[in-house]
Amino acid sequence: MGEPLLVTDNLTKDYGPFRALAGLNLQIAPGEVVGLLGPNGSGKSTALRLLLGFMRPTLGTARIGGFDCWSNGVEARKRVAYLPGELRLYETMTGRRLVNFLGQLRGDPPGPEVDSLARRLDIDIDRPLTHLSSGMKRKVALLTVLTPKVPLIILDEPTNTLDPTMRDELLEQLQMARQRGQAVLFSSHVLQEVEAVCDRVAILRRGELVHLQNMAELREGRNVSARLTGQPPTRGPDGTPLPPGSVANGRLHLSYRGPLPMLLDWLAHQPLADLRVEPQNLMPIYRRFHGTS
Amino acid sequence: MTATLVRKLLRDVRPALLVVCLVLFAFATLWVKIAQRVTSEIAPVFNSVALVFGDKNLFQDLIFKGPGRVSQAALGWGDLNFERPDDFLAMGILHPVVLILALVWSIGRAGGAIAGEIERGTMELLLSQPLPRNRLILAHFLVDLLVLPLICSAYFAGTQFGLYLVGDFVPDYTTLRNLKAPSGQAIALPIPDDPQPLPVNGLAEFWGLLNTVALMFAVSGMTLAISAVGRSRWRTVGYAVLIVVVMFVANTLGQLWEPAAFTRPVTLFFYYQPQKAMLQGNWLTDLGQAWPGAPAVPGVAVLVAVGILGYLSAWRTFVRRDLPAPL
Repeated sequence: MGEPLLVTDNLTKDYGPFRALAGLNLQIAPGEVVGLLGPNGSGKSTALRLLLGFMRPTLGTARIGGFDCWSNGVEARKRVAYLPGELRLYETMTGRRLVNFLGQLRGDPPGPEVDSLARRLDIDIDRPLTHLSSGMKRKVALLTVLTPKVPLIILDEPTNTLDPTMRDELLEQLQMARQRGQAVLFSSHVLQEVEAVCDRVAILRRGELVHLQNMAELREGRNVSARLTGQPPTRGPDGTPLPPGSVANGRLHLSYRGPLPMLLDWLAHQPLADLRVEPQNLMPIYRRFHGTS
Repeated sequence: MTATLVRKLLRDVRPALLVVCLVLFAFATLWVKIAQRVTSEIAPVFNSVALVFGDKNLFQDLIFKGPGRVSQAALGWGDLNFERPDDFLAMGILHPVVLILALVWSIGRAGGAIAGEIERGTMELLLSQPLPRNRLILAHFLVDLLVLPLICSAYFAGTQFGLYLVGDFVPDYTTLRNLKAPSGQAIALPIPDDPQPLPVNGLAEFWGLLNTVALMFAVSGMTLAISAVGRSRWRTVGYAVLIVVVMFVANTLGQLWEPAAFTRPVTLFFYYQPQKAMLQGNWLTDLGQAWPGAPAVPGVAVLVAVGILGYLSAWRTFVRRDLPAPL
């Protein structure tokens, strides 16, 4: 990881006696995509709002590009484009006027790329926003976020109200942002979309960061499930003894992290009746902290 | 950045601004016609009849008795003379239509400036840009500086247009001349043979309207200060209206009831005396009326100072406060 673009240090926010965010320590490098996962009330939006300088931290600091998000919020926000979760736009404006207005406030009026991006997102940016559906409005808002050339994009539940096609398009846009060297921090309830694009995932529970998952490590892992017809193995693909409980009632359950050919070679020597090999996903990890929700 | 915000805010208020300006323009034009009719047609009749009874103020005293005196105090018409066109034009600036429009504009716009923007959720959109919060306050200040004089200019233009339409204020005694006793004989009343046009100085209204601009600015600043702590436009508007109504009642009561007079200087309306600036060129408000021994102070300056204090308070609050999630 290079020099961090975003650093939070013991970032804490209290609303009266209620602690909404408790000592968040997080770093994001340029070009990294990080997801914030957690149910409602877990502190995701509070964390994002602190980064935007909407609120003063009770304790700790957040810095973007070396600038404190509260005391030097303007410099910090020069480096950020933000999509709020509760989307409210100036309804009397057209999409184009909104993009231009926000660009002018940023001191960086958008160029012709707005039109090509609008075509990609399939929106008519010359219609007043009041005439657009909520999904279309969200696309316009995405346009305002994807247009500025900033090092960090922050999105609060960005796929809300998007249809599956547009959700895929958004995720692709985030991948492209990463390729351009932009970092992305986004919150979501949807594990699949987080898995699809994130380099790391932070899981929050009741305001605390309870787990930080490197997705590359997770993607290297596979869950193997098989029904055996003969003598069960005692050692795994890497030659180490299988963990207790891996074989029960003629079934093999194994979590494997290592080269795929080694696994396949090992499986070829087992008495298999059927077999399922799946990439590991976030669900078991998420469930560890949030039950079956 | 500030210019972009100002342009956007001006675009937002454009429809309402147009309506308010048109209403004030039309009202001012109509008020000139009313002024002409009262001062050059009705007042001469009353005066002539009153002179027969030897009491020139007979009708004015009759009108401003009982409830009339309350409305006279409430509207600040106490020192004004219905027979003089300039006095009558000054009453227009103090008229409830003008006052209410001016106050509704100031409270409505400033109430929505911060609390309304938070309530609508668009504040997040603005402040997620690299926009210093004080720029938003500055933009609203600049909009007030542009729009409040414009609103009052519409009234001024309406008066000038009205004066152009109605021409000279020549006392008209036709009704009196045609009056006949039941016997059919003409009634002998003191009617001048060659009535001269009454003096009218419509341009003096400019100075009165400066006072109106100052009042609007004061109310706007005060409301913005409330707006900067709130998150609901209508709650902000409610508080501001309550404060203004209490001030208005206190000022009126203080004029009618001596023991309550001490409250008047803490109301904005005590310093709103456009008629004095317009008719006498007097910009001073005598605090001694309410607080014995206190000096006279320039009323417009007090109103402007209240407005500036409101803006400073809004600025101080807004740059420090947490921005809550939209309702």
